Formats: sequence, structure tokens, C-alpha cells
Amino acid sequence: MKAQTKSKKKPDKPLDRTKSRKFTCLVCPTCCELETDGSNVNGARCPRGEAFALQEMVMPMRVVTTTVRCDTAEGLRMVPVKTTSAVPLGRIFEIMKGIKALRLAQVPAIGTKIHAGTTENQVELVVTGEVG
Amino acid sequence: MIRHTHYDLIIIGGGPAGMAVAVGAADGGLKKILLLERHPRLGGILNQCIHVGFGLRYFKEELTGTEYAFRYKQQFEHSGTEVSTNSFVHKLTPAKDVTFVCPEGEFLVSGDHVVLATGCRERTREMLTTPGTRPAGILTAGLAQEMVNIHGLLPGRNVVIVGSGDIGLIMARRMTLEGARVHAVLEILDHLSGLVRNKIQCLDDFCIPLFLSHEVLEIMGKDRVEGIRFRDNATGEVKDMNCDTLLYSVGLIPERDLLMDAGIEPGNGYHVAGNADYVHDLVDWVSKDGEKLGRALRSA
Repeated sequence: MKAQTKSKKKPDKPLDRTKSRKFTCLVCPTCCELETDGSNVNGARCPRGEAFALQEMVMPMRVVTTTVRCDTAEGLRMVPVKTTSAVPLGRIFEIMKGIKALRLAQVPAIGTKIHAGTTENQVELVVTGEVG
Repeated sequence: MIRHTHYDLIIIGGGPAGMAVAVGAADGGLKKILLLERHPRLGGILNQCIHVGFGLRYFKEELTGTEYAFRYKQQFEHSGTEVSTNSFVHKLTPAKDVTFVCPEGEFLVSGDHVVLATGCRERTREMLTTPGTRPAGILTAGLAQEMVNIHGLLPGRNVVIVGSGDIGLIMARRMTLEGARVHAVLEILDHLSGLVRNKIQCLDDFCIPLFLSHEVLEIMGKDRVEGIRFRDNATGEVKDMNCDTLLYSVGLIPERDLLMDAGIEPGNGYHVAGNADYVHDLVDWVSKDGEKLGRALRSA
């Protein structure tokens, strides 16, 4: 918090306005207003924001969080998971389809890696919580 | 079964605030601490928050709510707090007698300090007094979140979200990922209530429209919600929309009924922590405030 509020925005770089786009940074709750032409980035308070803008320009990437069904002896349990890395926004529904097809037989521990989807379209998930 | 009848500190609520008070109090030197939680496990509302966006301020890392709960529980376990789950407090007295029920029966304990860490409640359709019928399919966004994320149940297929609070935005995306169609988010104010980042990654990413200055006039449907009538307050235009589910995300209210019912004000050993005190923006602040409150408590 302190480091971010103290650090000032860097001076604006020249942008090619004919192809520049504006984004709100999604990396952290500071929500920097970014503008990029695909090579230079203005408005980022940290390097992660610069990387975010450049990526958002070509292919938006998101971490997917959802649940996996687990049929235990005590009944249905929902296991919270997230993708281990960000995935292309345009592929989210196809990835969800693979995750929804999963059926676990026992509750995995937090941190366990799970693979979902077909071999060509595999996605790696990690368990994010304890199941009560 | 509880070990003592008198404690240095009794905490009501085992969510992030209650755990934080215990951590702070143990750090400040209190020994006999009892935490009462009505659910079978600790973590509170974090257990249903499977989305990311937690912990950047406290753990310096972006976590899901469930990961945050797990991490914080490990810290909490070092506090040596006695925990009684499935324990529902139903009565307080000015002398700091706490009565609770649990599967073993009803118990009365007393404390030098009693902290209410009971979180907050969602405002409902009834509180807004939206006119219309009372069919099935009207829920608060947080209840829908529990249904989907904990119980694996989808509350409906054609959804309209009333209010643009963060839980509503998060649920717009969650319902969409689970195969429901979210037709719109209606906000009576002329601006978004939740965070801009949530609008982008929960609405814009999935082409869900946000209608500002829009008011629900009437809910229609006999057994199940069939649709709503709403008005664009900027132009006065009235329209109908078909849907089978309404999720309300119209604000949170601190939960202090236990104190109010007993006619007790905070003070004289009674304290209020976390969202029961005021609704915090981030759980990170709840943890920090709770620890600070706990650390300042002294045994009598």
C-alpha cells in the first residue's frame, strides 16, 4: 500500500495515438488507468501493469476460478480451484466445459494440482481451499 | 465441550475478524480465549469466496478468499484459542454472560471481554420494498454464491442482478461460467457501486450490460419469477424483461442484533470487530483492525 501510494507515475512516453488503447489495470486493486500503443505503456505504477497492458492489447488473459464436483461418501462436495496461470479470455467457456466434466472421488488437499480438459486442450488447476 | 466457565476473552464469530482478534489478543498476552462459531468450520464468508482479489495488502500476494482463510487459520492456530464450532450464541447480558447452544447442549460462559465478530448481512428485496409478487427465485447475491460455490446448486438460468455491488458483479460472472444467462445488472444510482476492476472482469469480459439509473418497479410471476418491470430514470422509459431469477446486491449492514436485543452498548468489556463494526472494503483491513483491537485488550 505505502510503496504504491508513494511511488509516482513515470513521465508519459510518446504513444502512437492512431493505434493506442486504454485499459484499466486488473493486476491489483489500485486500478491504474493505462494507455498503450503496443510498445510503450503510460499510466502504470508498477512493471506488472506495463506487462498487463501489452498483453491486454494482443490477447487478454484471465485466471479462472471455479469449483470441481467431488462425490464423497458423505455426499457432494465442491472443491474450489483456480487455473495455475492466466488463460486466454476467449477460451474460458471451453476450459469451463473441461472442468465441469471432472468428477473427483475424494477431497484433495489445498495446493493439489488437477488436470482438466482433453489432451490437446489441457488446463492445469490448483485446489485453493479446504472443503468442509 | 468447553474447558472453562470463565474466559479472559470470548469471541463470537469465527470469520476473519474473530480469528484476527484472537491472534492479536494472544499476542497482547491474554491466555484464556474462547471463540464461538455457529458453522462447522472457521473462515466465515471467505469459504464461499473462491475468486481472486484477496490478500494483496496483508499477505502481499493475490489469493482467493479460500486461500486467504487457509493462510490465516494457520496463523490463528498458534494463538492457542479454544474453538467451539456448531455453537450458536443466543443471549448476552450486561455482566458479560454468554449463552450458546451446540450439539452437546446449552452452556453459559462469562468473559472479562466479549467481542462481537458477527460480520454483516446483505440487504434484501424486502428492505428495498420492491413491489410485486413473492415468487421463488429472489435471492441475495451472497446466498446465490453459497448455493453455487459450496452446495453446487444453480439458483436459476435467466438472471437479472439488482444493484451493482461487488458480490453482484462477482456472481454475474460466476453464474455465466456455470451456464446461466445474465441479462443485465440494474443500478438505481448513476454510478457503479462496486470496483471498476470487477465491472471489467465480471461484466465487460462476458458482454453483460450494466444499466445505470435504472430502477426495478415490479417483480412479476406467481410461483417462480417470470420477469420484471423497470424504469430508466434518466428518460422515464418503462420496460419489461423476462427472467427466472433476481439476485440482489444492494448493500451490506453490520450485524449487531445480539447486542441490540440485550440493550447493550459497546463498552464495559463489550467490543465490536470487523464488518460487525463497519463494512470494510478489504478483508486485509479486517485482519489488521481485528489484530489491533485484540492486542489492546487487557485481562481484568
